[in-house]
Amino acid sequence: MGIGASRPLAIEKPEAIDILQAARYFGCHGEPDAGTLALLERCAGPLLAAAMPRAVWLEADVDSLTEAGILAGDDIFRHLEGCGHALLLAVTLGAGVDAQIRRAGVGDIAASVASDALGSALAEQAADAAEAELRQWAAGEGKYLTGRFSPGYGDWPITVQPLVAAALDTARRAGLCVTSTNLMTPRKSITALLGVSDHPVKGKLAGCGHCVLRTRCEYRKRGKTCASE
Amino acid sequence: MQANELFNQPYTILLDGGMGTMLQAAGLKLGARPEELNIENPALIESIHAAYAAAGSRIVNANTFGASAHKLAGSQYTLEELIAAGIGCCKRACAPYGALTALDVGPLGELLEPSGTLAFEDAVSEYGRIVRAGVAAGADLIFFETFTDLYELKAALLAAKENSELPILASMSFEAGGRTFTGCTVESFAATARGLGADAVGINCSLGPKEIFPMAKRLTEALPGDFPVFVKPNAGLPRADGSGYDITPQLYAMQMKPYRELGLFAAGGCCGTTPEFIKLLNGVFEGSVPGRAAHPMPSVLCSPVNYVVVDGITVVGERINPTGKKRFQQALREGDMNYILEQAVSQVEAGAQVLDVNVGAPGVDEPVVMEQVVKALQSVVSLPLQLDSSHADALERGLRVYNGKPIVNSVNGEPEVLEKILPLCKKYGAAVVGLAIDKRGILPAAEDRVAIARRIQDAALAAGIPAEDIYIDCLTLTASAQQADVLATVQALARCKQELRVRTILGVSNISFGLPCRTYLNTTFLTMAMYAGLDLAIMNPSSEEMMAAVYAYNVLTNRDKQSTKYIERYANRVPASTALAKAAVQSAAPSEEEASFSGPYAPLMKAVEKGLKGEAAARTKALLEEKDPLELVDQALIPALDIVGVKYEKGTLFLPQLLQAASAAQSAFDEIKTAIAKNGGSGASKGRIVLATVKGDVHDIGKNIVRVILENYGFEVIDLGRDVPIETVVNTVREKDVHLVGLSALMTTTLKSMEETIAALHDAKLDCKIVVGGAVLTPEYAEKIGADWYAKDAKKTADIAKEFFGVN
Repeated sequence: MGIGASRPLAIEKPEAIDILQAARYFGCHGEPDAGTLALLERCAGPLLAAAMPRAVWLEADVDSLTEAGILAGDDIFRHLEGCGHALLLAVTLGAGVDAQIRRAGVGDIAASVASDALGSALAEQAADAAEAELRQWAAGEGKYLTGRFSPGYGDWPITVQPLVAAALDTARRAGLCVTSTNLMTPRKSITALLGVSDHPVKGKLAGCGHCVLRTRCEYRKRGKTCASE
Repeated sequence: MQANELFNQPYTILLDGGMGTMLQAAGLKLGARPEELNIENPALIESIHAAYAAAGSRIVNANTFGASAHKLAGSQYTLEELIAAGIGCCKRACAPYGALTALDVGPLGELLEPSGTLAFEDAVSEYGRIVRAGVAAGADLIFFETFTDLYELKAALLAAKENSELPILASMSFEAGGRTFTGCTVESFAATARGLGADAVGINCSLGPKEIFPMAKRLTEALPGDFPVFVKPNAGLPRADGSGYDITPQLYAMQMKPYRELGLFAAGGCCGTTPEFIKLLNGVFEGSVPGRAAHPMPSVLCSPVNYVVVDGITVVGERINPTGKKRFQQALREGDMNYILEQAVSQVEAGAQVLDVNVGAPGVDEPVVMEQVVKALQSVVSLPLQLDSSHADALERGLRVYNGKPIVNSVNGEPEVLEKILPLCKKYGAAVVGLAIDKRGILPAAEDRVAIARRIQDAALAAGIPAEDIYIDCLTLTASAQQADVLATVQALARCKQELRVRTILGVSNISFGLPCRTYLNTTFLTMAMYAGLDLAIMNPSSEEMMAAVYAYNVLTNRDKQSTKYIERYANRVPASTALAKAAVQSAAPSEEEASFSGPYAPLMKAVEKGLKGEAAARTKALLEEKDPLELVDQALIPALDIVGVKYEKGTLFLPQLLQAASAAQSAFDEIKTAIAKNGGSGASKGRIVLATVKGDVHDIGKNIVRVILENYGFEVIDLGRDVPIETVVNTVREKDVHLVGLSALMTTTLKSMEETIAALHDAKLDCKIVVGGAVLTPEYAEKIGADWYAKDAKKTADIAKEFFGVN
């Protein structure tokens, strides 16, 4: 099939931001204290209001993605074991969220970092919502999907980001661009790949071995992983 | 047809349809660059253009949409080569049909600052290069389409105006909600693109004819009846299975029929449409005449997301102005944007609808600072701005980088001022304030001021500024000095409004200089002026009495229907005077649990440790009545932060609590800086440090935390921001005589940039040490790239700075 055309994916804006997840990104260990919770709740309203989540996706065969240079490294191929096809997905919360994070941070560094953490949590929720839509699509086709695997995870380099964005035509379809240093703007954006198979597949997570943060990771120091806490 | 006859056609003309659609049908691979075919397969490109021309398109877009440097990175061809070939293909195909060839230009594929990293002027130069290539290749007109960022469209329009004299068509893509991806409204697009000199505006892509229709209608309503409007919808919506778009040429033609009532200048198609679609449009638009009946145009000021119709009293926040404010002047001289942004945010929260921006003060390079402040303001607030200066260079710098339609404050009745500033307003599409004053000064009689106002109005109209964009300021006189003439201002205002039919504006607070309880005079004068027809009130929106007068006036004049807005604002409030009395009682009550601290600073230290922002500021303000500001820093703030820092290191509290303490200390420091500035001091810096997030990196949260912590410890931080060019770091270190530099980078891909910045600092042989930080850095890597220290967090950076500067 080659690389299919990019299509918009309708996703609803979540009704609320996952405050506990945001607290974790903010740097709380365990439950947030009352002051921190109040700060997160105060910042959550305007941040959610500023978000305009958008998603696009496409289906492609693994060989075409490899040929196009989109798949690279070892971990992504381990993840795709048993999958002939894959879905590429891009989700963005839009530039309004970046603006709200800047605004919340004026004269208040705590609100700045709290809003950033809330943005990350919301982006994750939007990606979850998009993934749920894709799983529904797959079920309808009698197909199975792996979990999401994103550039920068394991040894899948973020240098593939411009290729992923070009294939998905994210600039035109979602207002998502990639800088010459491979960073996504708006900042609260997620790209990911999900393997497609005709039998149930889990997809192998990258593990910590290739992670750039492996020597200093706070979760590893506490004997946990970022996926488990 | 000739290009100069483009807008004189008796009937709606046809544009072309999709190019990508045709190329994919011909086998173009996804992700391949369509523009390369202009050189590699010109016959194919020519045949597509010819098919559109044969179908009736009278403007055909060359295959140059993505011919820009960023999108062509890695291509073997330059954009000039691809544009020359593309225009050539199109002209050859159009010639037999007498159709015009458009240089088709899309977005650059990079987001502009502040959301992205592309600087506005770089975008202007990039578009300049594209426009020059198109002009050289013989394009008949320029067609900007599929824009979603108004700021990028502004860069494109300026580049087109500055590099060619070709007609310009400008089109944006909107989502179903009537906003673009970046939140730009249809009306903001109309006002801004018209102001910047687009000859026609339109909507393309994203949706089908049915969905675009209501937005196209709004677009026509936001423009004068004779202003050319066009549309290029998609062939419906994308099919869920990814196999293209969902409507047929026949259905498309049917859905295009309602557009006849909009008096379009032109119509065509975008994604999914083919020559067959265009062919059927001939019948749809047969006999359709461009233009609509004339209608009164509203007076509008806007940013992309905020469209303010000045129809009745509108509040312009006056606080971004250094006149008589030492702390503000100091902030401007030091480039302390945070202080200025705080003034902006608090005015937005108080209910301002427009913000006046004045940065003129001794020792301030006004043009440079105006540009910096406008950029900083529009990155955090979305209110339209009023650029306030008598300095033409400062106005131009601000106008150029402003995103939307601003207002210039001001010109006056002097011919040389009018000649210098009105053309700037015209070029950048700004509204203008005219002061009813000339070299004779303020004339006491109302009729003399009206006469000057009339002269200004005539000059503005002659300069091409639309009537609805002219505002007259009849000048508020100070009651304490010229009591007898106060009423003349109100009378002149009423006459300007009635006789000249212009909008009016006043700096309200000037009325009360030199008298006690100024708010009472301000509020009363405001009320008198509103009744005389005042449109824009330049005032302090934090004065609740004045805001209440505005809201109450709108109720009593039946403008605020059912008192909705008044009730919304005041339903749960008590009048300001009552609230003050209550607050005084409350603040006198002793606060509880201060056990762990003792002495006069204990409550402040507790407030900082607990992260109580408001309380920390209030306690500081109270202590400053009797204590020395620097003593407060050394004996209260730093010890409190040290306690928090120790707990953080021990792991008994975490980043959120550390940051909340830092925020509280920030608010205390604001008070301290104000007190120092008031006493004429410049503060006692414990050492000067440059901070930057390196070139190519947009993740600056870590750097911002470091900045606040360093400032809280009394260091002077020159924050260069994010995505900072190497030479900016080097030059700042050299010019400001800095000996400690902090660099941050979050991503592995931007570490290279950090390494290059360090190498450049070393090569320049500057006497400075470098501390680095960022998630993916390690102490080993920091050493390898030549940094002097690796700091794992903000606390560590502060420790390094303290040691470096010998501060305890």
